[in-house]
Amino acid sequence: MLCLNKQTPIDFPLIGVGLRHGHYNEALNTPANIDFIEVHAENFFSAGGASHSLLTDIKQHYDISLHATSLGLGSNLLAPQKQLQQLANLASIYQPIMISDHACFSWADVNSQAVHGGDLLPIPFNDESLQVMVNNVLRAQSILKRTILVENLSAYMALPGSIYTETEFLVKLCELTDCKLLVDINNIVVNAINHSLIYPRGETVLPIDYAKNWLNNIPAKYVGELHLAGCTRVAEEQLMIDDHAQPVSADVWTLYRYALARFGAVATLIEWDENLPSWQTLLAEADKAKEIAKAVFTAKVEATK
Amino acid sequence: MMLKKQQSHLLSLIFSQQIQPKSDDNNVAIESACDMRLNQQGLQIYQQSLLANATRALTITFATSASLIGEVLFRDLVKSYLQRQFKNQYDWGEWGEKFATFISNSHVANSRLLADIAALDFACHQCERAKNQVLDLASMQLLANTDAYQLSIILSSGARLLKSRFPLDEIISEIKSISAFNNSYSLKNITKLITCMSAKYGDNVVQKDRQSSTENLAKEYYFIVWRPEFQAQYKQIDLSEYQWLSLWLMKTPSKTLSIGQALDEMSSKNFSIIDWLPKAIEQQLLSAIKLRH
Repeated sequence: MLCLNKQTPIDFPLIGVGLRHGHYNEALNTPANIDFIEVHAENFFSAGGASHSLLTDIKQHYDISLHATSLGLGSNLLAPQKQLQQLANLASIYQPIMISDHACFSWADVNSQAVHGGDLLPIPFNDESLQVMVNNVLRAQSILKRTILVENLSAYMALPGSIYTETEFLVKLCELTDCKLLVDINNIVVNAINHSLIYPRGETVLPIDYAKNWLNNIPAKYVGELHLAGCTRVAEEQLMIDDHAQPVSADVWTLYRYALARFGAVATLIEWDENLPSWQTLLAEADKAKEIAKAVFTAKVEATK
Repeated sequence: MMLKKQQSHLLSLIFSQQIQPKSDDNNVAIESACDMRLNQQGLQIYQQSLLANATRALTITFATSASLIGEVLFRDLVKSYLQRQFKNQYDWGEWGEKFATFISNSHVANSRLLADIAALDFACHQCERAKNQVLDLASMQLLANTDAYQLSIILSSGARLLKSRFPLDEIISEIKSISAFNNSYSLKNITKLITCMSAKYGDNVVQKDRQSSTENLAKEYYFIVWRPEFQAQYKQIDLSEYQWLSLWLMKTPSKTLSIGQALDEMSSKNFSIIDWLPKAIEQQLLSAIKLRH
């Protein structure tokens, strides 16, 4: 694999892309001006095989970020120790620059059986769920021997019982665990677009205004990474699904500028999971993020002169 | 306590893959036993997402079976499997252990043959995920000058055995070669072909079984699945090799067998280690020879 080795200037964010199966060959053989590669941790949970050989090759050229999707940090039912240990083993081998998972639940007891939902399922924002998530994050951090990043969710239903807003909940989580947030800007936009359908008596909100307000409620010190993505448009009265199947949307780019200005040089990842484009198209999205970062931070430097 | 109930309830609704009856409220809220108001459209998204993820995962794990069954029917099978077999694994790659048995008990045409192909798929998949084993060719030198009771063998990564009423390797190879030869070979044609194969190898045996032919009762085909490098391979083996490999693959960690002991335990007199060893080394079924402590 070739890396263009263009060093990202200090005070500029690290920019990476998510690596998916369809890009494995190109990622190993095509020059790429990116700072890190994010992989889904569970894709490398096997004890051996080709996937580890691939990750070893990737690691030789890029920093790796491990993005987990299965811990279910908001699950009332504890994740098995083996699951956390597998993630810890992976971290110990590949020394990722970041480890993240989601503010969701996945595990629950169904008919006296521990069941994994295989998805990122929503939680209510209240003291009970906060305590559960605090315990789970602390447990994960203790086993992983590092702080983790927790990503905000795109949710397609609101469970009853919330007494906090999502941002209040996430800030409290950071205060109590020292974890940081992986702010997925597209998830905020999707939630804004779906707002009136999820809350039947809720009002329609303007995505940009909703998202800016959301970002304003998060102290910069708690933000460790940003995710950018796009998703497929849907008809009115249909919930938009965060399918990561399109280029980053114009709204998300606008909000990315806003987020960088607010949070500083935060590591940024382009996610594209479905309807995969060419590797070059994905890299072009990363280049666009770099251009925006350059514009934001150059303007900041000019302003301080 | 509320959270526990909520989460259990939502998961059981998602796994049920059933659309909930609409309430009077056009805003599609559902009142449930534990006072949850769930968005119907949202619930369907999670149900569809689970089915899509499960289908994707099992299509990877059961690649051959999925291609023979066809996309639509395979998805229906996965849906039924989800409803009966909760996902108890956090890793999709490990889920599907009982899928072959599920197929054999299903109403899918040629279910016995398709179930055995699924079992072979699962064995290959598990083999490919097994811990890497280093090929130690130098250790083979021990065979030349060390007593067989002091030596043990290590098979390649993830090696495992399988038996079936069907010559799975021949059947899969025949179907693949016919469909590769004829690009327009439809799923309907493949299904016909599988029905022919199923009748040829399976039903005939059952018929003869009914006539209480002990010879036919014992009619089974044996397979070894192994991984020379990263890609699993399989081949048909005879009963004596199956018995020989069983000794190595079914051993408990506390019992390290020697080659001499294993040969003593072999009931079949047809097995020749002199013939087996060079082939096993060449095919990388054998990873190393080690001194027994």
